[in-house]
Amino acid sequence: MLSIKNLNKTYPNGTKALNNVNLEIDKGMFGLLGPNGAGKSTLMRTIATLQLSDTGSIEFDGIDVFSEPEELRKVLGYLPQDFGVYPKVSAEMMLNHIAKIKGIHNKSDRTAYVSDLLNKVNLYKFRKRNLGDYSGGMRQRFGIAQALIGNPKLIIVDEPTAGLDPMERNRFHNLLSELGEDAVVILSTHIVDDVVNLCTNMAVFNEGSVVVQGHPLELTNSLNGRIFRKKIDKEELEKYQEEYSVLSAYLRSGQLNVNVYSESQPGDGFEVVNNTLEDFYFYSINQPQTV
Amino acid sequence: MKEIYLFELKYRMRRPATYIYIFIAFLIPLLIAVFEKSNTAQFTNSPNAIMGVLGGMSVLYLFFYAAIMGVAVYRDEEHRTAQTYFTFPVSEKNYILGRFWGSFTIVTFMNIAAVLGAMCGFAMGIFLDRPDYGIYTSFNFASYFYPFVYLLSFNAFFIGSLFFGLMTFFKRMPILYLGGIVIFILTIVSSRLLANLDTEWLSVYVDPFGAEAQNFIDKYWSVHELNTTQLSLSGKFLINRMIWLGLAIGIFVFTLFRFSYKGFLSSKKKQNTKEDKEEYKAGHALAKVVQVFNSKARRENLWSLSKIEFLSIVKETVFIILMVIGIVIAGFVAYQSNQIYGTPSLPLTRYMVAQIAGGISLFSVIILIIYAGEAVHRTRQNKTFEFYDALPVSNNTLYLSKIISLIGVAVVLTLISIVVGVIYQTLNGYFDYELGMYFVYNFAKIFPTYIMTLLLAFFIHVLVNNKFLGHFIVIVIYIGLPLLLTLAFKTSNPLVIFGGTTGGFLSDLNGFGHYLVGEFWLNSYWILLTCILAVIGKLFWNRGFFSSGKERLLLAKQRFTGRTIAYTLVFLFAFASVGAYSYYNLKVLNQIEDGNYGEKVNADAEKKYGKYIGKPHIQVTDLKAFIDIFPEDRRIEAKGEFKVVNNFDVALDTLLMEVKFPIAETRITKVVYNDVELKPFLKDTVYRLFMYKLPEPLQPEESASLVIETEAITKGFSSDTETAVLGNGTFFRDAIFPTFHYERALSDNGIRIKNGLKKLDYLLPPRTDSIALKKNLFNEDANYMTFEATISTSKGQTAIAPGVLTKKWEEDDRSYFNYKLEGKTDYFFSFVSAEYEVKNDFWIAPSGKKVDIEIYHSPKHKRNLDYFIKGIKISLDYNSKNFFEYPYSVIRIIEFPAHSNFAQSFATTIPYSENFGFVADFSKAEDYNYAFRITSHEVAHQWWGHIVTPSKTSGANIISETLAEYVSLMTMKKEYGENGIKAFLKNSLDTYLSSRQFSFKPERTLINVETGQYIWYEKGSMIMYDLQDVIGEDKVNTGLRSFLEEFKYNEKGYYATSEDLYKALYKVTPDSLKYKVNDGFKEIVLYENRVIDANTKELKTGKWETTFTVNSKKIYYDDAGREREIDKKKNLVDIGLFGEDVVNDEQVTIKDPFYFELKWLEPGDNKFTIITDEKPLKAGIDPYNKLIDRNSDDNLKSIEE
Repeated sequence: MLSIKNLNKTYPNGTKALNNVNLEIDKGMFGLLGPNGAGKSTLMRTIATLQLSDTGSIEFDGIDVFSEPEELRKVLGYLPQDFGVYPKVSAEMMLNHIAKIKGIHNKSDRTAYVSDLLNKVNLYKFRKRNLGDYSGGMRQRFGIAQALIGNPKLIIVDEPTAGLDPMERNRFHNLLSELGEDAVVILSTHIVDDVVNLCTNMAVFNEGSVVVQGHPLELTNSLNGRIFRKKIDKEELEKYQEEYSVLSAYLRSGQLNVNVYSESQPGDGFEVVNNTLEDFYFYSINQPQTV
Repeated sequence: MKEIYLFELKYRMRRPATYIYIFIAFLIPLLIAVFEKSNTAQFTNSPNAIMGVLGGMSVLYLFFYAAIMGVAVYRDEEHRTAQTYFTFPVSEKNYILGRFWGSFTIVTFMNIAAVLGAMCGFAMGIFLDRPDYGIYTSFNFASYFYPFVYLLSFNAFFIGSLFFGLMTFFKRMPILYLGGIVIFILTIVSSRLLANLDTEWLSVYVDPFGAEAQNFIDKYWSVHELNTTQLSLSGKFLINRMIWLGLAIGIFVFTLFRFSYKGFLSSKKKQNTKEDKEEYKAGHALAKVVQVFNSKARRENLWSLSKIEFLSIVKETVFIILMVIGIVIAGFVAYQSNQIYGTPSLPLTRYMVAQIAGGISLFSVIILIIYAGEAVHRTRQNKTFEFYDALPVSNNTLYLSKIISLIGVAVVLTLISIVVGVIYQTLNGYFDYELGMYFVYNFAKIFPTYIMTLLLAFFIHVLVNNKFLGHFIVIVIYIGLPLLLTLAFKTSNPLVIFGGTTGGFLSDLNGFGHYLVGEFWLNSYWILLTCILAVIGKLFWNRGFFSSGKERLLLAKQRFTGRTIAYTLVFLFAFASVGAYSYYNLKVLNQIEDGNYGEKVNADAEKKYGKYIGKPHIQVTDLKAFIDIFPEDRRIEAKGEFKVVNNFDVALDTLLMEVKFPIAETRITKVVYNDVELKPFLKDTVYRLFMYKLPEPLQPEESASLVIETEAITKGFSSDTETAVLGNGTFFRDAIFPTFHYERALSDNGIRIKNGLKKLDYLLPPRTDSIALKKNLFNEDANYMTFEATISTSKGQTAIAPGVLTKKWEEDDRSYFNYKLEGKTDYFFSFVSAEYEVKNDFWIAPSGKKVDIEIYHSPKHKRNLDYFIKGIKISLDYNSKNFFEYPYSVIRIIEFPAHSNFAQSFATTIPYSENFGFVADFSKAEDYNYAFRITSHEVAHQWWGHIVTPSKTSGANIISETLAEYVSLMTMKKEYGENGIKAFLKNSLDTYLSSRQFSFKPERTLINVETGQYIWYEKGSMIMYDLQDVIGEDKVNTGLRSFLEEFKYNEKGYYATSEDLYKALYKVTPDSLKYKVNDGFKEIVLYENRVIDANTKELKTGKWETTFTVNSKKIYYDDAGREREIDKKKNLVDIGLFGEDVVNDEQVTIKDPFYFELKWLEPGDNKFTIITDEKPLKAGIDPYNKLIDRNSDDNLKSIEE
């Protein structure tokens, strides 16, 4: 349904944010996993009609995003990573306004719809409060609510769970997967678990390009038997990083561990681990991380 | 602290904005200095001029000071760096000091740039070699340094610490705007105060920038003092600077000590959060909602978005505060400006609309510019755009909604002007609201400027995409560009000056007149241009994250399709059509040329025709004028049947005719000389000068008949206000007929040199020029002549020319009037036509002759007619009794529309501006009744001007103006008593002293004055008043009577000079006081009188003995204002002792003298001991300020016991 072809984008300061991006995304939840600064937000914004690419095309359900942005906006729900609000306007009023813009012109329908939405994101109680007085989490929930207005066919959420407590996060995930049954949902995140829990498809995005695309489980499984772990001393890390392809170095109960990728048993003290998507993620971005 | 300071400095130096600020700070004074011009003897780059340029910069830079200093601490809030920053080991004081001084250093760089800019500008000015820009003096570092320290730096410190403090404590951007505007108002207020004699002293305290205070201080300085005195921190200027510097230090110290990290971080008080206890109840229609995106929905969206945008502007506190300030200022402006000579005028709607708009529209423009910026940046600033721009709302809707909301704001602002005006009138007890005029004025003249302003500002903000820079560019385009065009190109073409229109004036007689047509077309022109910009702006509307110029251009290309192209074309076409039509009207049908063009035409004419100056030419002895006025078409047809004579001793073979009528298209249609039609052999249609060969030479003493037909027509609309013929209120002079001699048109020496003409020291011939003595000053085309006029106009209007009305009739739907002047007069006539009501009265001359008094006035103006009549009667009486009986049997005052404020005296007839007394409110006795006074002045011209006509020599005009002023003063004294003229003398003194520095090249003495009105009116009235005070009114009048006898009606064969007048007065003055006549007429004399000390004690008898010392000093100055000599002789001066001021029967506060004498005072200290019955409170020397003294405050002193 959403087809992205040969997308390229270089910022005036020379940063290559998108490097020949090609993606085909169907209905359902699609996870876009990538480190900070990988260009995820650029891609999201570009799909959400907020930015131009230098070359390439995006098509959604027959809509050419670049030439008919207005058409796409009618079926789009977008939650940016970082957004502001009108501080002196209440959530209810703002959502009502957005609902109107999104074409819900019948007044009673709209009122009921907005109330329902506020309830869904657990803001009904605070609907009369000015957005400026919302806490970070509440504001994020408001952002979610506005993205859902009008049963969008394409939902793009950029780091949606940032600032949400675990309960709200679950609530949101449920809401999102409900929507995913009927729409293309792109979830951009650097939290691997979110992708594992929610997505049927995913792509790893790094340095402006799609590194790999597939089903999370399949991708995970592709590395079965090739990820090894070893407990090491802190001083040794540098040596290991030179010798092995270290995917991640992390602490377990105060003891430093390294996960390395190897076609065969790398040697003494290494054991095969029950590899996860995270290992695949690190493997694919080929960039050892300290967690 | 050092690190914070250096960081601040480095941070600033890395920001491009800093360099832009510094560059602008450099550029503006440079441009101003380059175009600085001096029409007086003041050097173009005098210390005073430099102070003016740099002092003005302070006000302009307010915006930058605020932006730089205000955000120093605010930045840490904005970028959310405060939380981390404040945990570093830096004390609060060091943090504040570092930030403050870091920013202040940048501001100082700006100020240095300004000084360098001014230096470069003046240097360029010298280099450009433009004689018409005045004379330059050599570079003097001090002239720049002192203003840099006392004005720029002090002001930067004040503004800086104010905004630094405000932003540190309030942490809100709008504070920046508000604070700036409050400061700005203070400057406006202080300059307004300065304009009023009673309140000017306040400007020393109120003016935060010091420049107005300095203007008050150097108000009476001579050109020489302006040229040589450096700004110095002393006297009242010191007071002003200390007040504001003190305040600045106070604020700074307060900020320094009250600032705390905790206070800064604590967010604003928790608001009462509304929490609805109500639980959610599931409603209907949940899952599936209908989404409609049809055009109806779009329209609804547009409407609702516009509403939201509109409300988010008008509900904002800043908007409301700005509005309130605007209203207050408008009220203040109306109160301050609705007066003439300090006497209030009635709050007529035609005054109100202009004055209220004058006060509010500046704020409205500021509001519209600010909120155009807000509208563009609002979603960007609060980052709402990150999701908002992805909503399904079209660019059109988004874009238009903002424009519609701004238009809504403009409508509100326009309506507020009307409401404020009506309220102001009501509060003043004036209920004759002319709502139609309110609406037409505000919606046809003011509203269009708002529309073009907001569209321009909106466009610029869209394009520039940076709020501060955007505001700045808008201001440059709005103020700087027109200024540049006017200064650099001397153009007044409304087609190139943004928002320019043809202008006009409002009148009770003439209403809006014909002026709305031109304004309509030019407003349309500018609105259409801004509409094109608005359409272009739409292409560049920034939605989402498009940032690079290339991308915006790409998008713009993409968006430039179908309807947008169509709209662009439609607007372009409309703009081009309206532009072409306006151009056709302004430039093809009419003339519009820049200032240089006019100078060049005049200079070329002088080069060609200068040889005819002073040459013999025909002179008129009899004129029968036939004038047809067509007010509807604003057209005149005239025919003059002249009898002309050769009064010179050579034969005349050519006839020169120059058309001087103000309407550009004035043509001589026919010339018949002794029944032979003449055709010109020289036709200069540019300068409008024509020369004819006479069929046979006109021999000396020989007469001939000459018939001249002329026509003056107006076409379409013109940039010229064309006030000569109006729909209702035509007033023009004898210039409808050509003159028979050539006269110089350029008098400014700079302009003359620039155009290759000779410098002129004097404009008129000297008093020894025997030919000039045979010519009268007003028109050398005739000596005394007879005059008859048949004048026709539209039915319903009355047409008036000088003389007695002998016949009136109607023919072909037109009214005809025939006037015949009794006796002879100089060649100086007026023709007036409008719908009038007439008030009649009469005056009986001492000989028993009855003189009819007629006041032709608008039916709306009945209020003050009695004052005019009284003025006429008293002046007729005074002049007839003291000098010569009034020679005619009628005298009339005729109102003309408010295009200018003056009255002018023709034989029997005085046209009088409707603004000049007809609508004044003379109900308070202490207010100066100028209707009475000006009337008596104008009536006096029937003698001083028309019976004794001045010769065409230097200084002669005082015979007309100073003597009319003298008579007017004497009639006032008669009518209102000595006390009634105190205010008048005070104003005269002020006007004379403050005008000296603007004198046309050197300051002339009374006897030599040629151009300075302040000399022949104000100085003249001071001198004459003092003279009659010391030698007696009767003696003066005796002198004047013999002077009149000698020179009346040119019986002597030559006209009077100022020397003749001087001699007449000198003769009647006792020897001991002759110095007064000499000082007054032939010298520039200033007194410096003051009371040194005064003590009183009660005597045993119950009386009081007061001993006081007065210091008397009289200084002679040269014509440049340099001290020449301190007088060593005794002078006759008033001294006195006074009790508490009393309020007289007419509610006027006056002094209460216990002792008052004229005394001969030695130069220096004079001690007196005087015994009075009551205890005196004040001692004084020249306490009524009859002598010219620059500091009149120290003439009175409280007496100590």
